[in-house]
Amino acid sequence: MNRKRLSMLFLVGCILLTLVTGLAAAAEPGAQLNLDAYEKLSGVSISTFNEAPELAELVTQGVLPPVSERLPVNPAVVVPIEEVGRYGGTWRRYGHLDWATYGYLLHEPLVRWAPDGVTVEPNLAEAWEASEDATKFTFRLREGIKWSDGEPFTVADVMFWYEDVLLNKELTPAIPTWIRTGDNPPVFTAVDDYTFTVEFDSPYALFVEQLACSGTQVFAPKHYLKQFHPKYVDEDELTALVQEAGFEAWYQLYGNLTNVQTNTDLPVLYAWKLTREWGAEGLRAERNPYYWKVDPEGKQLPYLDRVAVYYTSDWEIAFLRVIAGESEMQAVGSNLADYPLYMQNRERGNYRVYLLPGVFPTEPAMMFNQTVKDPVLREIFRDPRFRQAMSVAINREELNDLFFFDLADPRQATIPEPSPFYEDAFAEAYAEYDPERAKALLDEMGLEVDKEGWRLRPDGKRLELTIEARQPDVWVDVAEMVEKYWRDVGVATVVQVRENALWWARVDANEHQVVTQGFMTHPLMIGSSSLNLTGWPAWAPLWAQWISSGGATGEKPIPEVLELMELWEEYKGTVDADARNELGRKMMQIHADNVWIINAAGRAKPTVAIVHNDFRNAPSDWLYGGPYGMEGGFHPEQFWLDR
Amino acid sequence: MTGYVLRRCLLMIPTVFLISIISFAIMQLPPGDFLTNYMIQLEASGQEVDQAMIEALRMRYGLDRPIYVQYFVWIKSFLRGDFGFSFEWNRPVNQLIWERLALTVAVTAATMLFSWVVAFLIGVYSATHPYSVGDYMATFVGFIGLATPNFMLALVLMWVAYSYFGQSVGGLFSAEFIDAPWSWAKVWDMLKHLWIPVIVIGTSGTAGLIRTLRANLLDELNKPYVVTAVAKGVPKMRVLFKYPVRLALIPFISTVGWSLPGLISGETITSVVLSLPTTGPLLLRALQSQDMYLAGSFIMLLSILTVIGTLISDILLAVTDPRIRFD
Repeated sequence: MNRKRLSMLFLVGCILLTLVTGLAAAAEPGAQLNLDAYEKLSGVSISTFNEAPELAELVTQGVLPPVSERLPVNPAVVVPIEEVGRYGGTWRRYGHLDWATYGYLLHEPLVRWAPDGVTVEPNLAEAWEASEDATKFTFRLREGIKWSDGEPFTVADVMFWYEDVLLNKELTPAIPTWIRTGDNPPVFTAVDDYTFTVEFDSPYALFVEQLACSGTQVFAPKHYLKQFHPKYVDEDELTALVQEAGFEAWYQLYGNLTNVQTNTDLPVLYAWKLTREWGAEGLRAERNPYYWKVDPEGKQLPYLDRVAVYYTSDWEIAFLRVIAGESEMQAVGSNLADYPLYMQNRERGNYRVYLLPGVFPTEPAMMFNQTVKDPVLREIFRDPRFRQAMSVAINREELNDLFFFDLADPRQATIPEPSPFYEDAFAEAYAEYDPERAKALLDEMGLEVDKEGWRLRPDGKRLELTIEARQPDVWVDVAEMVEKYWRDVGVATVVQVRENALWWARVDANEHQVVTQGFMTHPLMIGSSSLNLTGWPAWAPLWAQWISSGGATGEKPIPEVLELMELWEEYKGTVDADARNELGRKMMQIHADNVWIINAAGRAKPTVAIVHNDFRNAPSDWLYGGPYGMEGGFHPEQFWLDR
Repeated sequence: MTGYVLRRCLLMIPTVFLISIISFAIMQLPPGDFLTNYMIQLEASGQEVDQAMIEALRMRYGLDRPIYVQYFVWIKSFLRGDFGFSFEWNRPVNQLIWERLALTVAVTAATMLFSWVVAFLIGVYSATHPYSVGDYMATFVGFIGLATPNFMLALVLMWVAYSYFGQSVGGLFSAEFIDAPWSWAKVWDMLKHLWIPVIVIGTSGTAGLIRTLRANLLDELNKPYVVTAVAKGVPKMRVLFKYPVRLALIPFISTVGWSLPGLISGETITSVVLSLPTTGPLLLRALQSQDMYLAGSFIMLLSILTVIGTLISDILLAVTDPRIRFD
């Protein structure tokens, strides 16, 4: 009896526990779920929907259909980061680049990143499925989503983008890397109004994750844009339109009209739609009445009525306004060097300061050009002992103290957390400060020391290095310290500061020896990275050329790099996550052993976000960066103003 | 005279044409183009840069064509009054300049008026009371004004306003008026903001004018015709304004034409610091980002206005100064 009761109790306890954890999962701040999934998890059913008073007014006037008709059948439910909010308010922002100040708020891909930064959640697509070999993907769009002008969003918009934008040679002269395996684009097929498939000719294991990143929209408002596309419009008619707008070719007009910051007529799926185009007084946007997300109480998002971006001639002046308390929230354009200033004015400006981790693994990287023109230098640079010596000669703690307020995390260049294949050992590889070890390694290489204490090259000349540093200014500061560290171990180093465009031109032409460089890497290695030579190839431009041209140009890499690239190819096609992560781990091990990319200070400094004290639901520690959609990845639709 | 003006006008055509080639060539000098800059900015802010996207943009902007083709396309539409499209703003250059022009002219005109009135009064006073306490003070202030860079003065003013009054200076309107339609209240609000740029930009110009006027007037005051007039009993003020002041004004007249390009260029650096919605920052930004058509058309406009302004000055000078002859 007792035993039976105990086991009963246990059972009930288990059920309760699952219920509670289920609830907890549903209530995870910042998560986004489909309505049916949310109701199932939370046990709360959302039967009626609410809307902003402004919109309710328009509904009574008969200008807008009621909210239940504007929302999709299965809306997305956003679990607020702090609390359920109230409608109203304007979000003020400042800057000189429209695509940053406003464009960074707009991030509505098919699927989106969950708060953990490595798993994906449904967004415009409510469900998806991948074939076992990861070549065929089926997406199911949320039925009943409408563009900001009330027209339905369907598979027709996806097929329009595929057939008439991606495959149109004038709009897309080259197929972007994110939408192809090998050289060919995939095949999109419409199944019904809300279902479509994408088929690649070889496995693309992380395609769905790739779609969660910014810049990977696979749809366009067909009903609007077809008016400007030669496939749908009579040629003479289109030519007249093009000339009237002052363009030479239709694709210029088309491209101009797809600009979210300047075309007030462009239908969008974002929380706000443009009402005044970018100009001398900035731009203005207001709530999209057809936005397709709700909060847990069934209130249609966004909470904020308007976004107002004001033009300032540069970021410094922009942040002068921000710290005067004249912005609700802004991260883009902040400068870590001004961190003390931001902190000092917190009370007066009535704001709080958040430090958001980024996706730059280095701050900055010191890259020795493995394909440098001078054959003697080339031999030295390719000796792993030399790079290891140069790495341990750097005092990362001191750099962190001097330039990053102790906020950068001193370490070697490797995949950033929360990557499943991040390991402390990779971050610690040759990252300690040990000038004696550096000298010993250089001695071991046989680099002799002359009378004045400088190291000599095998050909008897003095070993002289030039670091080509570029902006941001702090990289130049770091380079100047690195110059000192390397001179301390006998390597005659000088820093040359180069203007950005000139720097790029020189790296492109393989003219450099050592450069400062920062680069981005998603924790799952989606998109380009310097770690697999798909981007920022300053440490081996000719090898990168060889790889991207399939061996036609450039130089064949050394075996270690070839192995790295084979692992990378395998990684992209491996569907099983554990097996894939193991491949990623192997790649990072090769980097840790070879330190081709030497990290000077630490993991990239955080981005400073300034958040007004009345501004609610802004995340304090989410990953901030391109793959995550910048501020747009923070669920800006659930931000609200407690005023 | 008519022949002279005609000749000058004809000469303007090749001058402007040459300027157009030079300015276009100079814009091509720095390495890279608008897209290189765009890529660097994207990257710095943590965005992925897809080479294919850059290629598409290069084709859309026509940057894949040879430079001389780009030049002819631009100059052809420039002659038609179409200044091309700004890459960075995604809008026609005409619109961009136009929407900033009214406020730029307002700021520049107010500044000119301010500096002329102040310079005239102080200049005449200094010349008629040389080496007095007042003259020394005016000279001192004048030199300080001349020696302090405008942007420095702007920064100091902004710092004082922020740290002592907790107010962010900058712009020409308060937040609540930026989006409001024009009204008397908005004009009043603008005037409340206008004095800062007017003083900041005006001081250096004022100082220069004071010095010129004072020196010229001092020269004239000692000439025999002034002495004779005073000796004959003409009232002092009347002598002063009827003869020497008129002569001393000639440098004003000879430089008035030069302020014509200033009307649309604005005081660039000061405007940047004060965040004024004028054309100066637009030009600076266009040059920095290699926004070719915006920068090119802007420089062309400035050049044309400079050439016209010089002509106007010369004509005015010929009209007011009887010593000038056309032979």
